[in-house]
Amino acid sequence: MPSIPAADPFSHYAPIGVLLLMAAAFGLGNLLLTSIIGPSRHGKIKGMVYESGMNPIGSAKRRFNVRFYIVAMSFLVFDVEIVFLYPWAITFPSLAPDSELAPWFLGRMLFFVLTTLIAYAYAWRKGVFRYD
Amino acid sequence: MNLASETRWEDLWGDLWMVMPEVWLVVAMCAVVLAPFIKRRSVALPLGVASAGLMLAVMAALSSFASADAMGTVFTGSLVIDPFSQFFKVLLTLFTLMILGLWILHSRSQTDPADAPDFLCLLLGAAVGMSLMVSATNLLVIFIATETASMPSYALAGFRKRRREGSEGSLKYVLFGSVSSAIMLYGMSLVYGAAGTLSIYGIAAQAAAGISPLMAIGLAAMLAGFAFKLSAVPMHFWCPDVFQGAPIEVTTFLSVASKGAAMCMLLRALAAFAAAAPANGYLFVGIGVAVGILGAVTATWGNLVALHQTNIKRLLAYSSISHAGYMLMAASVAVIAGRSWEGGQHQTGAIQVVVGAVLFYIVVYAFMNLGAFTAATLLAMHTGTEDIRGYAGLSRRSPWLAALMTACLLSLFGMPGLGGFWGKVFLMKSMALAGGAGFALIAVLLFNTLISLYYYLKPVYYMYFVPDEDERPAFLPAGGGLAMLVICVSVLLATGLLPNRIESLARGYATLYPNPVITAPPPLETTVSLLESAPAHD
Amino acid sequence: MAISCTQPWWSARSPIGFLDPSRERHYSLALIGLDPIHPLQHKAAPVPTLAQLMTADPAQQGAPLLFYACATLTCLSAWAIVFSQNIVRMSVYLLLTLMGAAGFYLMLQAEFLAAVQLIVYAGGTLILIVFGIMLTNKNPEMQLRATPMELGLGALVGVGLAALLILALVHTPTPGQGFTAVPADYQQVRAIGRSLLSENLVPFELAAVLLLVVMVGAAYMARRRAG
Repeated sequence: MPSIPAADPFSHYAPIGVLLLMAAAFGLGNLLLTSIIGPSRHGKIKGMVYESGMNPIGSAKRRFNVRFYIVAMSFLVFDVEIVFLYPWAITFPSLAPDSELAPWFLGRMLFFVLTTLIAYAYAWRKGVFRYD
Repeated sequence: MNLASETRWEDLWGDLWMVMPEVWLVVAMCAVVLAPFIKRRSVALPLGVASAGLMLAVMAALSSFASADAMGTVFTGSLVIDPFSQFFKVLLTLFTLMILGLWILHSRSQTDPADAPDFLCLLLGAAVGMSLMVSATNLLVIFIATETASMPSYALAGFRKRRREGSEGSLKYVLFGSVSSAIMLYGMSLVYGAAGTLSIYGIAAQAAAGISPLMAIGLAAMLAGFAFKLSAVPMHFWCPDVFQGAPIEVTTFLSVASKGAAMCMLLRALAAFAAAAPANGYLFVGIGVAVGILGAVTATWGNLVALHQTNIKRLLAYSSISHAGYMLMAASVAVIAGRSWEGGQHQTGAIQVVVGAVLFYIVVYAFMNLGAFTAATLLAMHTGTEDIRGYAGLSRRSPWLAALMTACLLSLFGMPGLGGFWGKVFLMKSMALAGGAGFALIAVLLFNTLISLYYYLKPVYYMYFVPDEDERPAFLPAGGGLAMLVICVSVLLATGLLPNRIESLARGYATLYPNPVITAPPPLETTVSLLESAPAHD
Repeated sequence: MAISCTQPWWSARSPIGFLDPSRERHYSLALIGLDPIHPLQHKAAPVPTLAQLMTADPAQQGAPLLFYACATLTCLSAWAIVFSQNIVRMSVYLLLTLMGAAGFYLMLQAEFLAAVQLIVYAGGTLILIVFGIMLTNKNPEMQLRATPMELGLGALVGVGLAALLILALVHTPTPGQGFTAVPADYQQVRAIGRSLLSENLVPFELAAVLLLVVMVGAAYMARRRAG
């Protein structure tokens, strides 16, 4: 690998930028195109639910059940967990194989993961994930 | 990155040994959460585990006084273990044990057995946060420890889900708390940007070289975060509602442990600044004056609003606001007198006097508040009212309870012969070190004490001088509660009668870890080369 | 700064490279005028025209176009949060604000932080906020209106705070040591991992305790009955 000076650290993001632009252009373009070239006919049959879909009852804007909140919350907890796990996973292999630090680094991470597992077990035991 | 010291095994284990109180608390917390797996719907099991963990933590904190090796910085300087922090940890864990007692007395019968582990886990979690707050010397640790103390407190404040006031108080607490931690975090980011270091000692050293406007704003925003935890005046609105709505053991815990931890954290930061103050650092005096004004306003406002309260919990809430104000006023002296005004000479002794006085005050305050809240709990249990007008004729109905509660209230006022009096005297003695500004603070403190006499005597007046019109029967309060009250009052009497001995004890514990010599952080290149010295495998 | 790289940007390895710590760096987003210079140091840089941007030597161009793009996104959407009356729309604007902030992190070469910002805030916290709205409101389309008094007070505080911050920024010398540019082969994520496991161990493990407590507290509050 030739050593390349950090003239511009953003060049890597060019593909992402282009991807973002393409995504935005695709979405907006489709909307625009539909309104321009699509025929605009409305009718009772056309507004029906597709094939064997359920007929909607009531408003879509009603109050959610509170147990969804727990699901979102546990998702967030694991999300944060991953954020911390990632740097660890990058760092850990960079230690020398016989390094004295290795068991410490492993133990520190295991404690971190353990607390989350405890939280998960607790929530399970409490029936937080039970839907009935 | 201190890799050289990290590779030594003894150091790694030694660091862990020095934070044993926290380790025990965390272990107990995890065990409490797992208790339902062993025995479902058991209260005794998690309660036993929590008490055992707390007792082990007390012993671990006490044992660190045994040898001088057990003091110092740990975990590459992000925590400090010194007599000051260990003393507070002993107090905190003992106090939490008493909160458990109060919970058994008051709430256990009303709590579903399946909810007991939740309560205990949250309580222990808050205790972990508070004990780390006292040891924290690093902005990151300060923030996360504060959050670890706050988050369970939000849930604890609304622990009785069916009570409307509880939910209201909890919601106000969460909203206020999250806004103020956001402000504090924002301030920390500015301070970090201005100083380039997270260590409070490093920041103090940078500030000694000159406080830039950015750092000044950051410090002010951080002070706002501290003010929330202390319920100092612009950030105090949550306090009465939370105290009124929360179960009484939670109220007691929040009013003492939470405020005490925040106070100790603030003291450590102020002492670090005071010790680093340059010969003519007038900006440093500015920091002290800001804290002093905050304290004076808090004390006065809390006392003035307390005059109108008729609910005992709200009254004690405003009283606790004003007590936080007194302690803030004294803490400001650490910076003002930490460097003498004219001579340019450091008065390092002044810091210790101030810290000792505040520590003494925290101890006394813990017991008089615990006593007052326990008495209010017993009264609420037996008379079914938290309104002080319902206390009419109590001296006839339950003379012991009335007498003990009166003692606690008078100690909160500062009656000579009780611990509260000496607490205030030592605060004033330390304020006198600051010269002219100190005398202004003393005047404010005396004025506030006079105001507070009215509302502390109001319940006493109802208990002793207003006859009970409904002729309600006499009652004997629950034995456990009475025992706790007796403990509190005897501590107050002991501190009231042997003030000098206990004050010298407190001053001995007020030994803070000295500011380390600040060396410039290694430039980034060295860090990188250290990293690269390890063979890469990815 | 000497430029020795001649690879065009489309030869860049993979778009996932932004999470790959051992990647090589290329230089060609200069096309859209990206500049790693800290905005604080950007005092007198002239804003070049688009034509200049397209042709200029990437090492010399000084227009932080991405900075302006992110600033516009952040400020406009933050503005929209304040002035919107629909709480669901507010949360969408908040998403845009958070994404703008992620862009700033990217420009300050804090790529990991930018990714975390997107994963945790845009991906997690925002969902929680929307859930919170859906859980608590009878009608999520509820209109929120501020009284003129509240508006005036808010404006006063906001303008005052902004003025204070701008004044402070102008009068604060740009810190040198805090903002040194990182070397090209700086392995950021690995450095973060090292720091979390050694010098910042306490906050790291404490965060684990915090997560446990938060989970227990939230589960308790959201549970309908004891179980």
